[in-house]
Amino acid sequence: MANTSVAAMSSAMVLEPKGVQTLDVGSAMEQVVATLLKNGPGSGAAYGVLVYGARDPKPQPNMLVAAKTFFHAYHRAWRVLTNIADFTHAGSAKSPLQTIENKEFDHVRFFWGLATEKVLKDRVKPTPGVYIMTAHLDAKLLKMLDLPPLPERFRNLPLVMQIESGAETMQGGGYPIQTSINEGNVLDTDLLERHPKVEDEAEEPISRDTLEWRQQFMRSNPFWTSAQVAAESTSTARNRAAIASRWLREKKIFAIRYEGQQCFPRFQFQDGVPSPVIAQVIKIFPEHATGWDFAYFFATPNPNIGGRKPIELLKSNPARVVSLAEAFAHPADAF
Amino acid sequence: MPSNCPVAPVDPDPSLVLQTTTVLAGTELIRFYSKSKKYPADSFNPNTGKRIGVEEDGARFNPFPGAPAPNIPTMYAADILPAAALESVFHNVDHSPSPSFPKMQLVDWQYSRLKVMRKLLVLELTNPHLRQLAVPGRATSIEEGELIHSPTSEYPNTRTWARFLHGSLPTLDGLAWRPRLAGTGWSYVFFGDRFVAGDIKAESTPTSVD
Repeated sequence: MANTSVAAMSSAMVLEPKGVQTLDVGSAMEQVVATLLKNGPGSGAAYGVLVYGARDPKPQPNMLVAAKTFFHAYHRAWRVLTNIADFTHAGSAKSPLQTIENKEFDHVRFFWGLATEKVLKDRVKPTPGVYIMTAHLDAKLLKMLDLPPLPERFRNLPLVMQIESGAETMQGGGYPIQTSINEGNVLDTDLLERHPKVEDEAEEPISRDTLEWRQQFMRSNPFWTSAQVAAESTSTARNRAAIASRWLREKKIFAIRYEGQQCFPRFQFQDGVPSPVIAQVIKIFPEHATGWDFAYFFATPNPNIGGRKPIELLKSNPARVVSLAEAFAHPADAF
Repeated sequence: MPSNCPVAPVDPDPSLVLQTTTVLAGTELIRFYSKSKKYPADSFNPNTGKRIGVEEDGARFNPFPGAPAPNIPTMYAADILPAAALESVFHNVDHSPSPSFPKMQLVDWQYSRLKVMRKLLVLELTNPHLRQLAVPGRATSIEEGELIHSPTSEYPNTRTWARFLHGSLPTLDGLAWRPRLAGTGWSYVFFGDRFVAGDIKAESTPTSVD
């Protein structure tokens, strides 16, 4: 998560229909959250806000330079957005503010739904980059600017797209500015190399059914982050912090990607180490199997055991879980 | 509607007389089978090491042991593509409005066209034939719903009927039934010990499902 303090930000620029104006970060952020404010007085008309980091050169209120930065950022966010199937309960009056961020999203983050001022202040923290208020960009304007329209499913939503400056070079005084990317957003390149399939999957648009299944899975199955795996691990390995990625590499456990996080379902572990049956199941599945394939196998009612789930047998009958995995991974062998 | 399936008589009944149906020489069939196992389209699944009592070890009518010992090799096929697919790739799919199906599982399948080279004798698992099959300890005969529409959890029991019919009718080449998820076409299972090489021939190169 972003943890840069407001003080670290020097200033911000607001892009409005009538031009650009330089503001302090606090005031500029008020314009950002106005479109998400529950029972708010109604937002202004600002298209976007550019927040500059303390280490960035002082921005010049140049409309064309700001517009260029904005266009880049819009394209970046748009590309990510077209890969997202849907925001659940998007636009529902009852839904509180929701955030979607993903390491695969290249430092792009989406806030949607309505919330109170307090929640917004808490959740929409200013970090160097560009904020785009999509409600103020109508289709006609986008067309005129040669910007691709938002996918239909994301129109008419209270939505703010945040493009961190890690993704978008801020154009201030006319030359590129390097801003630090906070650690939480650094791409896990290590994982990228080892699990290209996992990465592909994150890029692939998924159907609403699949998304709903994944959400249900995440709600009903506790999971650990890699840090939690390390903390709970009873391993005495030298580099304990990296234990999760080591176990992953050794195919002793599997991980799933959910909302930008690498998650390790807890049912894989027993007494702080991977249950041996997990490795056996991973070995049986084909190379192209993804973390979600494993999740589906373990957590779906299985017709071969009267509709119980394989996770229910992990402790009592691991041999049966292996036999079920064989049938699941190689269904044609039965015929 | 899905229901339980009763267990067939343990011992074959040599006095059993049932009207069989013929599948004519020249009939074309479609078979879905494993891509990874790499056995020829016209060879039978040997069912080696598979257990009749374990649901996931086979399908509705395999494996079952022959007399006295190991499992009888089997081959599933159907006369039309939808019937063949429904009774193989989608055999586990439940009766619900929009059942889910993991894409990963498609990769395992391929299908081929087969040609029957001699007249085959099969038993149609429909009425009136089923009316001739008594259920031990029960006044009423076995029903199509019990045998064909029952869920996967009943496979250990449905397989006992294949064992019983195979054992009781020495000239029977296989069983025929209406696909569970569709009303048209015929699905077949053939008993490998009743066939010699060339009785069924592969007509095409395999087609992948994914």
